[in-house]
Amino acid sequence: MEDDQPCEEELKLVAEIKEMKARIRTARKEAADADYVTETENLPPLGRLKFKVRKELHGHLAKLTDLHWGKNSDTLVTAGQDGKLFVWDVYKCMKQNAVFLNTAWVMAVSFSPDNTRVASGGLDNILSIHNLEEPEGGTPIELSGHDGYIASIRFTDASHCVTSSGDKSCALWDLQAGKIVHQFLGHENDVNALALASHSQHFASASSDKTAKLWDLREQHCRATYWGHELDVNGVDYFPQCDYAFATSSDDGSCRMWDIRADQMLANLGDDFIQCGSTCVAVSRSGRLVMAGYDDYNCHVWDLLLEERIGIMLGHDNRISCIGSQWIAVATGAWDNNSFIWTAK
Amino acid sequence: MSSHREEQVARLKHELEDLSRQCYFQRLKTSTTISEIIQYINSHVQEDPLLNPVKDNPFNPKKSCELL
Repeated sequence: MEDDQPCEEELKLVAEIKEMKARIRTARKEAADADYVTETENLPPLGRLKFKVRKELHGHLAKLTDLHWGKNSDTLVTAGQDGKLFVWDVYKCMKQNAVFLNTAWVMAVSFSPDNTRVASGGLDNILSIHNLEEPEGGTPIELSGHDGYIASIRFTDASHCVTSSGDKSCALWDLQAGKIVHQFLGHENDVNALALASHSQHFASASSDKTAKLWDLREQHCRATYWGHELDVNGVDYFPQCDYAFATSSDDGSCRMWDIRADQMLANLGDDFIQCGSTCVAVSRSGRLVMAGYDDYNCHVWDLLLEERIGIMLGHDNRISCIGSQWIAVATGAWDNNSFIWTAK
Repeated sequence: MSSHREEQVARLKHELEDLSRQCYFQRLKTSTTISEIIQYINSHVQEDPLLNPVKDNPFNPKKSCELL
């Protein structure tokens, strides 16, 4: 059949793309006048850190898939494949609110900035907005637009969300208009996670195409593509100075930190001890610690500067699926149906 | 050209445009960025409760006995 073969124009574009990627690699090398290992090797090590479970949030009857801290560090929302969202008072270890979803297959959850609403999404491909001021979230506002599952959601302000999807795109939604107002295209496979910069000017995405991308929300385009991971990238979280860097976690077992301003990989957190994929990642308040969840049921704690594993968070009985750092404490969710709140001893 | 081939061409053009823009990004040198990252971390370590546990951490168990 005559259209099975790429046409001349395609072949030309493929060659130009290859050349452009080579130019980017060269430009990145030129910016690398200092080596990360050399610059950090004389810093004093931290020693072993011990983390302890302080709160156990039991209630979900199936695997947890996502969690999000509330604005005051005293509430957490968790999503489970029992089709429920629970909003927890984490100090009292009690459910403040429960939302029963129209679908069991929820993959993403997020508080709105003022915490009066939660958004959820999953294999139904629908972005649902629930009002926590109504019993059981009220009747959800259900927004279509993605052609694939919704993996991650964050509110950029009271009336806008960004989402990442199995349809390979990220999207900016106007919640009042009830639709997608911009599609961020470029990933070549499922977009598994996103993180939003604290000033909402950019967001970072993690994809099964083995790359992470940085997207500018004002200019509405992709600012950078980061190559390096050897398998799907599943998790992403910003460095506390969000214009400096962000971290990713991958099925290749490593977590990496990406330098936004020098446009290249900064740190590679992985070693021979870890023989499984990393599923999610969170960065501590100072940026020194990177906590990541793994398929082996553990979370490991890394010293970002010395690229050393310095702690382990033992407690879950199944794969860690989500993690979130809220300054004082770290929340984890796992396929053992539980969420734990940890602090350093 | 079939619509499939047209789609491929459009996708590749978009990718090339994207990469061109990414290529001409004004990069800072790592000598600057790394030292600023280290500086940021060092100046915020004191207020990182995971590295310097806070005194009244509401998540930690209270040490004193409370009268009921």
